[in-house]
Amino acid sequence: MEEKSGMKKKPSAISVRPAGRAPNGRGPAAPASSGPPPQTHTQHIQAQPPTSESAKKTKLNDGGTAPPSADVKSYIERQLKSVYDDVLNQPIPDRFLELLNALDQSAEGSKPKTGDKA
Amino acid sequence: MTDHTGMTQANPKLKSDLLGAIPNLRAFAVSLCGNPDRADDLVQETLMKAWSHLGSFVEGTNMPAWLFTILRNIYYSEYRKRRREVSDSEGTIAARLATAPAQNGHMDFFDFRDALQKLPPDQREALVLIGASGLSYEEAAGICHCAVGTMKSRVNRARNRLIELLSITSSSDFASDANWQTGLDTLIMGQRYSRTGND
Repeated sequence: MEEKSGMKKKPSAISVRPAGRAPNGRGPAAPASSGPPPQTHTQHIQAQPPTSESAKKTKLNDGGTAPPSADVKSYIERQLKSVYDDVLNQPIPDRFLELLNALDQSAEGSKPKTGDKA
Repeated sequence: MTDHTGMTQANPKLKSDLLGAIPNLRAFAVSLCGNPDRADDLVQETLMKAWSHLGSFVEGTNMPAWLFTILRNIYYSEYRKRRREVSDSEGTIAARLATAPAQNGHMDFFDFRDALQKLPPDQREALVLIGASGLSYEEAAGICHCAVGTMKSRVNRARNRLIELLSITSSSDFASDANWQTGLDTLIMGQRYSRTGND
């Protein structure tokens, strides 16, 4: 199968999983938690050598010798934004509205009598 | 009158600025501590502290940045050690946080969030401050009490570490089959993200 030439057919259920190519085709040797091999491909179709995953890791571990490309950067920023905005876009919980009101009132209430606080 | 000018009378403008900064504070707090409940406690403490020090806020400067500084100080003085007591499994956090935005694949979203929490704290906060909260490098450096250059290098390291954690490979390797994610594919054409577990 002509995987290297634009195989678009398999946008798998998990959208992040690359359809046509298995960087870790031989199994999960990647960092983080390694589970069962998520990839079904067993052969490497790229020009990359079979050790691509370790090569990639080495490259990245070199501490910035291989700066990420612009599209990788924008992917990360996009994802980052989406995680951040997920919280950002939530309505302000009532507890904070109440808190500010209470602080406001206590500030006004405590105005006459000084030394109470502080 | 009390000693704190800001405390006696709430400037309505300041109050509404405080209010308006709450979403940002919550988002930042969650990214710091990884736990929504704790994050809101952190925000609450921050608001109270900010309220009692409103007088020290320089009007016209960046209110969120000022609040971030307070929140961060509270977090590092108290929450960090407490966090060790309660080891939050990623699953718990993932389950408790809100659902993923519809336009992103859920696994993508959760995986990314998990990966973010695996970053060293200094890198994570740098990335979040710069990449998500919209602060400048100068403001972020001020918040984290470090040099601008340090901030930049933390952001870079955070990014590289994420790429590692997520097994994102570079685009030149396989640039063709990019239709696996609508909405993102124009931006991330060709790059790959390989799941390596967590099923």
